[in-house]
Amino acid sequence: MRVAAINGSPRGESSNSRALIAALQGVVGKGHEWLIVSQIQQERNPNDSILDTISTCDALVVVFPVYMDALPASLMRFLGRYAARAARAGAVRRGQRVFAMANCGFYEGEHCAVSLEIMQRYCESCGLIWAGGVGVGTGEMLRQRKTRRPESGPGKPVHRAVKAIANAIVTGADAKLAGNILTQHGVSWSRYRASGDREWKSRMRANKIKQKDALARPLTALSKTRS
Amino acid sequence: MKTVLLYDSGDEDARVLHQALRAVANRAGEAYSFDVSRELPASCMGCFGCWTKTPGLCVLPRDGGTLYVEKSWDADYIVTISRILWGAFSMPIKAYTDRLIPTMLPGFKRLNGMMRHRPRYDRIPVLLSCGYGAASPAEEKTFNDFSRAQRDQGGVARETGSFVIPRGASSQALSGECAKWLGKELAR
Repeated sequence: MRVAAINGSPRGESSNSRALIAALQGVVGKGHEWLIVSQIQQERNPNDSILDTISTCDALVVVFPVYMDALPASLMRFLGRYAARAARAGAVRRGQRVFAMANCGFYEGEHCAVSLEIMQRYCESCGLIWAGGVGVGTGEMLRQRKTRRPESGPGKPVHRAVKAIANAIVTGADAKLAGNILTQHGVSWSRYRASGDREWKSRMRANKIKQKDALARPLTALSKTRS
Repeated sequence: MKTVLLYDSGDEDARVLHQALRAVANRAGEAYSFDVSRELPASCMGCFGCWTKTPGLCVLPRDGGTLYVEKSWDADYIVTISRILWGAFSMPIKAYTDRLIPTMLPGFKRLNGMMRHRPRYDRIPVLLSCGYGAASPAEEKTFNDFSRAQRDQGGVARETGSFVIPRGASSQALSGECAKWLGKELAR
């Protein structure tokens, strides 16, 4: 099976989306050929050879962070190019299955639901086969949790969702998810929030930003200047 | 009341709808229009520098995205007029809306049972949407879902907060109806 994975995060290799792709590769296992397009921010004008290569794969997995309840604009641009190529030359093979894996920094996987709906509409618009998606909340835990046993512990619900996509990919040309899966790591809401708050404060400290400055309202000052 | 309209003047439908909606916004108070056709801003990089390096300000070089945030952060309403692409906003419009992150804080709160970011300023503008040019009824439904999800960020579900020009209908013919819709929303 030839699988193309598009990392739709502008953060590229250091993103949670890239960690999800790595997790998927791990579950799919050996014996499959992967094409990973990871730096789409740099691929503002992707050359046709990349699009051509993606189009020859049996399955396409689009992995992305949710921005304002939808796909990041940079990913929309990339997918638009892929769709335009399909329309222009019939270059994208009909029947290519498309899976999506959305992730967000909020706790609930439900935040990803609309973005998966948008991916389905994308597939319908350009003749690709929508094969289902996974929406993962607690996205900031994806890179933090390096474990040899992802099938147990807090990562278990996410691992189960990734496994569902992996199974559908390798099962055969017609396999799809029965429905979208919305999930998150097995931690409590309050614990995830507390952990998030600690992480933000730590990043601010590293940049020498004081707590009171973190709450700055610079645009208020701007409007006073204008008036 | 301050209303900001975001639209693409390079699109005939958007021009027609903007003209009708701007008149309504003018009557309601202060209005400002933002035309995305002037410039395609840099896409948000998701670096969170606007939270952890320069709180409240985007770290990208100043461009149309920066200006959009400066004009809209204190609006009561942001009305986005967009061609519907896969059930969402068109790419140039989305490039602008993605840049609103500096108006939020990284900290979380629970709102209507779901995790959300705290607003940096006193409130989040109510996000209203007017869509046209959907390719299918499913895209129209997704657009309404997308618009509602965006409003949920501010805790304002408001089912009536989006207006879709039905597939095959003329934006010109329905611009009056669209204006009535905005008038009702701004009066709520």
